[in-house]
Amino acid sequence: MSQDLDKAIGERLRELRKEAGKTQAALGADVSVSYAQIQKYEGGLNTISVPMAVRIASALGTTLAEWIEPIEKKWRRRKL
Amino acid sequence: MTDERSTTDIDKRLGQRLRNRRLEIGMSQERLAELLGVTFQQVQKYEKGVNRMAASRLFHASAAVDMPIAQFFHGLQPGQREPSPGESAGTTLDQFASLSGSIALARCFIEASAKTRAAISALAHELNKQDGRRA
Repeated sequence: MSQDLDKAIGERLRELRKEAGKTQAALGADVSVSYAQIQKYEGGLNTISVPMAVRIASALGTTLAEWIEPIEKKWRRRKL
Repeated sequence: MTDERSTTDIDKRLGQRLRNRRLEIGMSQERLAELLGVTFQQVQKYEKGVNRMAASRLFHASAAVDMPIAQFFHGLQPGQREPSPGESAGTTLDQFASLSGSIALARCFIEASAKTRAAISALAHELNKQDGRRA
C-alpha cells in the first residue's frame, strides 16, 4: 500500500512540475539530484523523504500542503 | 545529497509531532508500530528523528494517529507565511510536550479545579522567579 502511495505522491509531483514549467533535469539541478532520480520519484519507484519533499516544493514554488493534501483527501476515503 | 542520508532538523520535528500526537491520544508505541507494520523500536527511532520517514510512511502515520498531514508539515518549509498567533502556540506546545512528565502534568492541569490551576500557575511562576528566570 505504501507503493501505491509513493506512486500517487510521484504523480502529483509530475503535475506540479509541469505546472511550474520545469523539466526533470531543471528540477533535479535545483535540488541537487539527477534527472533520473526525479524520474524515479515521479514514477513512485523511489520514496521521497520529507526533507527532500520540502526542497522540491520550494523549488517548484509550491507548498507541501498543495502537493500532499489532494492525495490525503483521496486516501482518507479509502481504508489505509 | 548529503541531506538525503543524515537526518535533519525536519526529521526531528516530524518525530516530535508524531510522538506528541500519539501521547495526546493515549496510543502506545507498540500499537502505532502495529498500525504501521514496523517494530516499536522503529517507531522510537522515527519519534527521535534518528531514522527518516519517507513521505509515504508519514502519510500512514498521520492516518494512524488521526492528525491531518498539514499539521505535520506546518512551518517546515522555509519562506512560507509566518504562522498566525494562534498557530504559533503550536511551537510552545511542541516544546512543552517534548519535556518528560509534561503530558502527565497537562492531564493534572486539565482535571484540576480553576482554583488549583491558579495555584499551580502561581507556584510555577514563584519557583521560576527563585530560579532567576523570567516568570
